Amino acid sequence: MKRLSINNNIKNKIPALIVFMVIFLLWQMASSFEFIPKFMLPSPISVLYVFTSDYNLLITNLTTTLFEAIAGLLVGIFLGFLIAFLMDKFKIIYKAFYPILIISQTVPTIAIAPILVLFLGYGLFPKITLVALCCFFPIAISFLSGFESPSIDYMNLLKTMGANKNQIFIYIKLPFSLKFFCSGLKISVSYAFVAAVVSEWLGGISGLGVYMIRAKKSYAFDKMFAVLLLICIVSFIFIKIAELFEKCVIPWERKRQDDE
Amino acid sequence: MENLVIENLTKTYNKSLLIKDISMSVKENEIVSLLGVSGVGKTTIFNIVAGVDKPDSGKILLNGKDITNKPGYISYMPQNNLLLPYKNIIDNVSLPLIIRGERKEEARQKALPYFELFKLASAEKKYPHEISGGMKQRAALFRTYMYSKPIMLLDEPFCALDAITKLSMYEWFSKVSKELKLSVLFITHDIDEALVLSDKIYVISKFPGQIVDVLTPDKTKKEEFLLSSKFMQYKKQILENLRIL
Repeated sequence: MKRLSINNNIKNKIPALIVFMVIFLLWQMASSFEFIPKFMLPSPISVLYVFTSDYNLLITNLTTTLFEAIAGLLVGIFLGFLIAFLMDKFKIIYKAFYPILIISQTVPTIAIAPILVLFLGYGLFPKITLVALCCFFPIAISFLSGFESPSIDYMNLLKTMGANKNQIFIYIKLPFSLKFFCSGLKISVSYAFVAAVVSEWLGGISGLGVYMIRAKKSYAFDKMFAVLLLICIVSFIFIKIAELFEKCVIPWERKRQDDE
Repeated sequence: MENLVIENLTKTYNKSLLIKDISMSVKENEIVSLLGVSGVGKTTIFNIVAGVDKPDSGKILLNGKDITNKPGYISYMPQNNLLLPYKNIIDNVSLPLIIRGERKEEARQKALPYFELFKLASAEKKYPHEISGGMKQRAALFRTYMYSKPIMLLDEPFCALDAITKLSMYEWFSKVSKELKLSVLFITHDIDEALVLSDKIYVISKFPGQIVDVLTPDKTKKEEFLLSSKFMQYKKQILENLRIL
């Protein structure tokens, strides 16, 4: 059975793989036959070559960006949980902050970035702040709907056991909210890395965004494409880690889905 | 001695009278059922008795003490078992003890000896979605027993099961309730179930929910009861009472 499912798994991925290879081939041809000038569209092979020639530089810059993204993500998760927790616990906070929370999302984060630089300078701080701002919202909203998800029957059940509000939170609301948190996390992680790169465009000493700006100024298209590819890969890895995290944190959900 | 006394409960819902003047009592080691069709407010009565809902008027007394609107005095099994999907069976059943402040390991140790009796041996570490419907109901009953309160309220404990599983559950439940000396008040819409299991049956009518009959089935020949003419007479009486009003 297991072997069969692995075979199916591979079979399911074949169409996507073929499309991917065709795009790669077309790109290579467009560049080799100079349909598009080489300096504007570097060939995929020369893009990949950047990974060896500029390896050390890429790694140093990647480390900076990764640090900003992860630190910002953690701060965002913490703040998101905190505000959701307070909003759930005190109705007055919910009423006071919920509209602001929604309205705050209409402000494009990219537009706040320059203001953050003005306020906080060119160091790591404005970058981490921007990532945290981006990640905070999906986490807060997912926790909030998670806390509201268990039916009143579960709350009543715990009340008949003599549970107080904190116990209801720990034994019912928190575990039920984990599924929602994981969905929010998957959105947040895909924002985190990109937000870190964008914040670096506006100035800084190191990071993939800084590297990108420098490559742009020297018309090094191959390097820009390489960074683009790197961002895709890292974001993809982030999402995969979030999925793995989901499997570890809420194993019962996966089992339940399998059963159904 | 009358353990649980329910006095003149009345409750309106959305401005219409849902239940009117409900009075019942459960003695020690007695199994009492509340029988009625769906939607007559049986669960509302249970929520009031369990202390999670407020009556407009009326009182709940437990051994003479007024426990109206005070949860935590009565063991309660809600409809649809409500086992926590993220806890295995042993942690599910020991939850009432943990809520009361006992340590996790202690609570588990206290629950362990009863696994055999509730026919859940070897399912301690399993999760609710990994066990059968009958086992889930027994686990929910087990958890209710772990409340260790003098009265158990069971809200349609067997309704989600198929007919054949039900029959074996009745037999098992009769045995267990004697062995553990349970005092039970349970809701059902199944006339056979009420007759087979209970010492006393309150029949409740519709709109508003009112007690229209109280039966104490005479079950001297227990094995043959289900097939006896007496059983059919009781059933006829209940059906008439439910239809007339």
